Amino acid sequence: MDTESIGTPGAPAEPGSSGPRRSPTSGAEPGGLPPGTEIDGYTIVSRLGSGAMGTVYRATDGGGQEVALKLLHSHVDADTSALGRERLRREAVALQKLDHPAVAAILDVELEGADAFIVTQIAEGISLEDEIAERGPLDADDLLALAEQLAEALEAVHAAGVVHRDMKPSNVLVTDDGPVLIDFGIAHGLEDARMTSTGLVMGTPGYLDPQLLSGAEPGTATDWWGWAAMLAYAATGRPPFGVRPLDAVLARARSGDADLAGLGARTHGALAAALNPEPRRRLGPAQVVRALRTAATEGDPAVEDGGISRGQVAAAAGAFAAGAAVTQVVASDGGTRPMVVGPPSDGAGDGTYADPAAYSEGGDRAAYGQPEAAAGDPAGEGASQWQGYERPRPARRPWAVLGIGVALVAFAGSAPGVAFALLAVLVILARWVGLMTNSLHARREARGSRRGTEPGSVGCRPSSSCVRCSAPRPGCSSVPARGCCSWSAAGGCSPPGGWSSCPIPRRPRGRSGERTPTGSSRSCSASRWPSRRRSRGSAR
Amino acid sequence: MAVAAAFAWFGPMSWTTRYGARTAISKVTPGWVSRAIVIALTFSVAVAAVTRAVLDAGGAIDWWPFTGPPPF
Repeated sequence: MDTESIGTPGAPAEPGSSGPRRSPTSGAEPGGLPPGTEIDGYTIVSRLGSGAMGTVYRATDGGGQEVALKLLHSHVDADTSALGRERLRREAVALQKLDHPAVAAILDVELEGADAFIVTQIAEGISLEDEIAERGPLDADDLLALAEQLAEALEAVHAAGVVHRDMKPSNVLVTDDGPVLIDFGIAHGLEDARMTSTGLVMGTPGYLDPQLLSGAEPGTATDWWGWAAMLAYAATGRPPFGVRPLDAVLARARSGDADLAGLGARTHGALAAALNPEPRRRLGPAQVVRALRTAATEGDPAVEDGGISRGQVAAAAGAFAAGAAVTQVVASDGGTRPMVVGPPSDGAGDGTYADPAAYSEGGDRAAYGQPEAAAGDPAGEGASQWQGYERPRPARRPWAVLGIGVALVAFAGSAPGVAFALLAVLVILARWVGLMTNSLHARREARGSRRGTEPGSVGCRPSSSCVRCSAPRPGCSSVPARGCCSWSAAGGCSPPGGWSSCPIPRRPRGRSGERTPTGSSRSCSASRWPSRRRSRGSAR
Repeated sequence: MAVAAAFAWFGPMSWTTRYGARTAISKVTPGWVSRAIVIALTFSVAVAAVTRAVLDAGGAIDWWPFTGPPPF
């Protein structure tokens, strides 16, 4: 849903109130329920938005208080395999466990009647997605405020034993009192049984933890990954893994290839590390917030020069708002269809973070928010994390080629006709092999590497190079090898030798476009992000 | 023949030929031993063909499948 309002408390409705009743099937109407329709004592005022499971209406209860009423889609209700009411029940249970200003409180729930719905508080606000699309990326101060407040809310959600599972910009409302998390429609109790069919995964492409795509169970790490992706969107104004095609979005997420171009060094480093596809190597939320605070207070040196136009930002955000960020069983960016997920990667299926002590607390790495290689990582293999596909480069074999050539020439001395025919056959064979191989590797490059299948072909060997990249650079890991220093503001590694030892570059994806230093697209210096600790000038 | 081979290897649009040949050689002969064997075998065939032509046909060139040398 694009924009949603959830806010001030209202008195519970009194069931059985008089008034016109809606038809139980009318929820399938494209425009939703008309104003004035009454549902179990709640009167519909207007439609606020619609998601995969239901439509959210602004409604008034029996006492005249405005509430948000999420009505289960009739087709979802009718589809027993969709388990719509069970999901609604879980959402209600999840909300009942939560008592936090950043989460809309539940007021009522109806699961037994003809209409299944859930009623929550309503508050005026605009989704983070729309906020960024309309006003551009957040600067360092606003980004820090967003990160802190959302992290606080998410910690409260997790403390209540709930996993949101659908952290994305359209599920965060920017209100005068700070961000509010909405749409717990696919929220999951930490102890709950899984509802999604085995082999399928629910979420929003681009904001879905790649571990879920590998078959891991939802956990707190799932939400923190979405949190980091959301911060990346807020910081750049662009969906961190693009919007389409779906396969490319998922491949980028699986490879940790986030679009963080234009961000300052500290912000870039922190978000890139938090979006690492490997949970054990991710930067935890506390470290991310710390890095963002450092960036806001001490400055954030630019990684690279260049700028991205507001038009590009608006276009990217617009494309994103146009429908790519719809919760679905991961599928196309339009309709909803199941997709088979792969097996979980080793040691990452628990969806939890490694001990924070695994991260370096001192030196440049901590200052830049860079994680150390995970504990137990053999021989610093953490450098080989680049999951994008790196095409193997065949050896030149000059002596073998020369030998075959000389033999052909010698053979041509006695039987030139046969030798020429042999040469023609060999050339055709070589070209066919070349075309097939090139086509194969081009497909793999487009899709990204399957995890762990080609350990020798990804990343840079830690023994040969210092591979911290200033950006997700072709052929380089996004994390420094053990023993390597963090990168400097000017890019590159210290000690030197980083770039030269990297394998051949991959083809550019043409996704980054021009780049901009952090916050340069903002025209005003005053914070626009609401904070519970500082009053905001005026409501939007 | 040497010109034709060089043209096939370095001429226009020959990148695919080089890429495919290197890939095929790497796959067929993964180690230096197997590579040396293949090179030796190729040379042996070539030398055997030349020797046979010199000994059996008195150095005459076998133009098969053509009827004779090109007319230029």
